[in-house]
Amino acid sequence: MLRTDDILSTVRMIQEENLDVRTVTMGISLNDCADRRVATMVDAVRRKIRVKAGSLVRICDELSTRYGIPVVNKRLAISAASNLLDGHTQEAALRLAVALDETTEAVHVDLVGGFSALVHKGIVPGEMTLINSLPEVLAKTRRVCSSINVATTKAGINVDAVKLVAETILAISRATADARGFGCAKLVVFANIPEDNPFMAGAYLGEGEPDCVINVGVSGPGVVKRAVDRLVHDHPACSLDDIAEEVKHTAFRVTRTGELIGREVALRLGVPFGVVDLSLAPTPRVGDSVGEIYQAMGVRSIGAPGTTAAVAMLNDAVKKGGAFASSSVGGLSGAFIPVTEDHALSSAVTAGTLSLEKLEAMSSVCSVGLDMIMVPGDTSAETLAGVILDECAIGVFNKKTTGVRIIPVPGAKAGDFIDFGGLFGSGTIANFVSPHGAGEFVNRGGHIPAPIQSLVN
Amino acid sequence: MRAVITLLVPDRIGILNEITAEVTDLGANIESISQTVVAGYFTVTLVGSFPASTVISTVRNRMMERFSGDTSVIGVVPYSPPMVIPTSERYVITLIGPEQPGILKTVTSFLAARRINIDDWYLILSLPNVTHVGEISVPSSLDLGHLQNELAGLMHSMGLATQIQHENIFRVTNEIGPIKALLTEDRHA
Repeated sequence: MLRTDDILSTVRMIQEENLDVRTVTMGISLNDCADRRVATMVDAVRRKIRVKAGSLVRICDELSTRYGIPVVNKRLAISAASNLLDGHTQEAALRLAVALDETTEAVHVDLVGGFSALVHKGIVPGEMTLINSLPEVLAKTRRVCSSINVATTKAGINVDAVKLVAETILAISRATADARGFGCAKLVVFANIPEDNPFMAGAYLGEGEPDCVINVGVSGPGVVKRAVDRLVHDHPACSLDDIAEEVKHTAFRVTRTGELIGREVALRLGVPFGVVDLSLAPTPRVGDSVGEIYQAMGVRSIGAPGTTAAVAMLNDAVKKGGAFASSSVGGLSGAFIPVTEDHALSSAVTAGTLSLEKLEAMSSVCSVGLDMIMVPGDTSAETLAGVILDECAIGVFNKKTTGVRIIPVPGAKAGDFIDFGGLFGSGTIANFVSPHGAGEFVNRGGHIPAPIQSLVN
Repeated sequence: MRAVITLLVPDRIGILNEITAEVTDLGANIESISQTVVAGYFTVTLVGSFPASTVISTVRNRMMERFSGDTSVIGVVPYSPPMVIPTSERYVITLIGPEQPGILKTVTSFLAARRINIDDWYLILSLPNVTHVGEISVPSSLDLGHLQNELAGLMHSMGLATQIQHENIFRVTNEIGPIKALLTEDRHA
């Protein structure tokens, strides 16, 4: 029997605290579309997406009405596109990307991820073709997102790939200079890329996944923030244990909402349900910020000593609540810290209390890494490669996912304010305290070996 | 013989014990019961299965005798099978906004006109505002989006925000059972 106060607390989470299902992402394997003839391959891709995803948006909208909860984004995550590009040219890569862009629009889906390559141990021709095509692809398409995995805990870090990707990021920035380098916001560089992540820009369908699957990304930073606010208001002297407990209970409810929607979408489409990714994903809206949660916990100035501990505690409590709520938890499942997409984090960078180095420290205890960071347009490839290497090291040596989504803004310098609009938000160009000096290390290239799996202290 | 017994009486300790003792002493088995306290008044409805020789007047007299010291309203009637309602699903309706006369009349007229059955209804007064929460059975043939829009338009004129949401969203956020089982249950319903 439902209790009235339980009903009303759920209604409040949805209506006042921005609880939504951030994304329902359909994973589709396109590996069976491979063909030496570009036209045949592209036609097969278009056909498969239309068949598999043709009803996705309609069903999500129906369930949104049924449960009174917004399903904000409907997305696709394809198997790594590099699998289709062996033996093909950059022109073919662009034709594939345009086909993905157009077909995604035709089925009314927001974004498609998986224009990806996994190069953590080496690069095959199709992967090289994909990486080289990225500046043109990300400039000429709107919905296509890309990710490159350059490191894993088992393989170590492919430094040559990191250097290549760093140079590619600068090329993407130049290719999308008229949009302030926005193309870079559609590329994530990963260590230990998850195979079932539903969030963009890093979503792709991993090799071990089904032919077609539904993964769901929940959100809920606003719900968690309000829960902490209420607790602190009612019990001003509450301990951090109390806050962790409150976050855990809230994460339980948020996760369950996502699983309900995901399972029913999968049921109606006749495809398997995959995972709920219980990441706290902010938007630029006030009241939908992860940074606001840290402030509610007592870190008034984000970036102050103690911030990393707050991030760790929040991340852990979210995981515990989510893991109890569902046996199908996957993806990234942690607190995101995408700077431009979170007004509190963005304001902290603008105010100078939150440095890029502190963000890097925070990324060691949460998902996903240095995310939506804007740096000066004249940042060197060596510096970008160093940033990626540092994040990879955190991921590889701590056996977790880390990523870098960094945007060198052409013509901009530290302190300039940039507004991308919409969900991508705005913020201030930041710089590293010591951006130069590791070029010799980076340029040695090669490979950082996989870490030892024992002697872990 | 099955009978339905209702009782409305100012709340005090022991009422449910007294009524169930009377029914049991008459040889009945209680098959269904719902009891609550509204604004200080104890209310109960129960269905009892009595020996075939028992007559309604006997049950009524025993109940009136037992509660003769209270200001009470007692009803005892023969049990009738419930009406056949169309294939439907359980939804929760909420209305939140300024308290005013006529809210219930307006919303129940709206629901009745569409053959929507009200299973439970609660009102929480916190002046100047009021919150209504109803559990309703919505015929599967109705277009839910259209229904929501119509209701929202109607209640908006009274300054009330409304929602109609499938009960499963409340079950999953407040219960711990597996969601997969919940959806299977729905498909078998």
